[in-house]
Amino acid sequence: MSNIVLKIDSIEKSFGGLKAVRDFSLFVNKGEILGMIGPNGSGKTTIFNIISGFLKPDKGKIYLNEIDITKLSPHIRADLGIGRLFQDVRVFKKLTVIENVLLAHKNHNIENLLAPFFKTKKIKNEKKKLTEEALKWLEFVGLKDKKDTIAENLSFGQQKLLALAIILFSNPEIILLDEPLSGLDPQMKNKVLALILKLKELGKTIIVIEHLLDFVFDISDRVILLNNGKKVYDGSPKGLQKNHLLMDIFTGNYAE
Amino acid sequence: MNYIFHILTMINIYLILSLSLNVLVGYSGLLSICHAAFYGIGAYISAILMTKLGINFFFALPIAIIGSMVLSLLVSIPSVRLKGDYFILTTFAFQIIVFDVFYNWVSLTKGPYGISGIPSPSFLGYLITGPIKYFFFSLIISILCFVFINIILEAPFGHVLKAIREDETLAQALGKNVTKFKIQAFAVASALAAISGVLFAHYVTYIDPTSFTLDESIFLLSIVLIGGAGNIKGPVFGTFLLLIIPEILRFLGIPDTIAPNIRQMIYGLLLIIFMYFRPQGIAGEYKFE
Repeated sequence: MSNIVLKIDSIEKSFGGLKAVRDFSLFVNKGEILGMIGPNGSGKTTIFNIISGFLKPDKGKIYLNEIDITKLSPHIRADLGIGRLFQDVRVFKKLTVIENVLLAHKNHNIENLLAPFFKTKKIKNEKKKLTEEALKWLEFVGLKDKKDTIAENLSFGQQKLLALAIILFSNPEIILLDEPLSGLDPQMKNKVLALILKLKELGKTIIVIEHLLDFVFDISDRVILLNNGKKVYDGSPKGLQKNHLLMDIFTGNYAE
Repeated sequence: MNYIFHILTMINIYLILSLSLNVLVGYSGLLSICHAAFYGIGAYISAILMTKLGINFFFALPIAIIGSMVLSLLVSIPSVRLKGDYFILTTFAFQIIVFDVFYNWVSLTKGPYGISGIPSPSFLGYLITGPIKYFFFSLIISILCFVFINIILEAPFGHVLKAIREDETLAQALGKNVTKFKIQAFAVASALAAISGVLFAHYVTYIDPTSFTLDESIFLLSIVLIGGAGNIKGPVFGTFLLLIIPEILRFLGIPDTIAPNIRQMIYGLLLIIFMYFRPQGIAGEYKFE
């Protein structure tokens, strides 16, 4: 088996007349942290939506561990191992913290309509096992003591941590983080930053979209730069820092 | 005495209706205004089977349940793509169509004349008839339905429904097959509504389309919203409250000619007051925004 977790093969996506993604290809290696940067509207979130299945590309193919997932629906992709942190923090607001995390389990048998009538014992055992696992991840993000709090009563930053715990619990092959630091105060930023670094130590594969360039350059093994839906750089963070491209694009002086 | 048992029997029937509607409205976040249609489908299937074909009640009941579940696909499959207001319109259309079928398919449903002489259920030669016997019979069935609903909602299945209600996109991103769960929730709710319909038809022994109108669907929705959606307690409160109000009016000596209008006004007023001051209902957990 190759080392490539995710492979994107020249995808295109248009909305009406607007070309949001143009001939975009990418591969992500196992255990790699890939930073994705670019100005607003350069297609970063659209690419995340295409990878997680909420948008279908007009052209091109996407492979997860060599399986063609281009035509699969989002929930099947999630089961195959795509975990996503949404830009506008999403948690189940009326449910408790621990219930939120538990919902990310992948044993769909116990969710069957008639399972509670035939598999009572199995559900109980499974629940116990899953709860232990969920608490482990809540401890990891520092929300263990809030496990019975209703999610909407958490602060914005804590909701982000919860969203992260939900994804980690689901143990994905690749984690897509869409602006994990946006809207956070400096203290919370450091906390999330430390968590992402810990994930790196654990060998997780991550793609991260973020506007804070210093942060991206710090944690990424490799960065890609997007402009108008096109990849204009793919390489080491150091290389990009030295490159005039970055300055040109972010100041609007870039000409194709 | 018969009068009290009659009311209690009707409460049993409406408990099943409101608890099953709550599976959609309170747990799955699907605002449906066609619950009376499934109530009617259950009633008609079983009434027709028993009066025309002479089938035993305990065979007619499962056929009515399955028929209602199959027909629920007509609403639940479009709901996969239609969200919010558009979904409500789908349920509205379904309600209207079903009523029209009851009303106009005279050869099958006898249209506006209704079906009379629906036999009472008999169990091993024992005839369940009259308010007192029927009360205990409906009590057993409504308890069974209550337990069934409670078990599925407390199980992981119910948790996923709540998750879909809270955030469909996130539920999908976590691997939940939202389509499948919505279809199942609808099938369960329709099956239970059909059970109420069967109970009703064989209790009153006469049915006509006016029992299964849009008004009735809205009344059922009022029970859930006033009682409170999203948990088991709410619809129970709502059912008792809204079924006892007309009886109180009766005791106040309000003439029969205006009582129904006053009743409608009280329901409407209650609904407005609750939506304004307590959108989660008396005991509910979930409010529509």
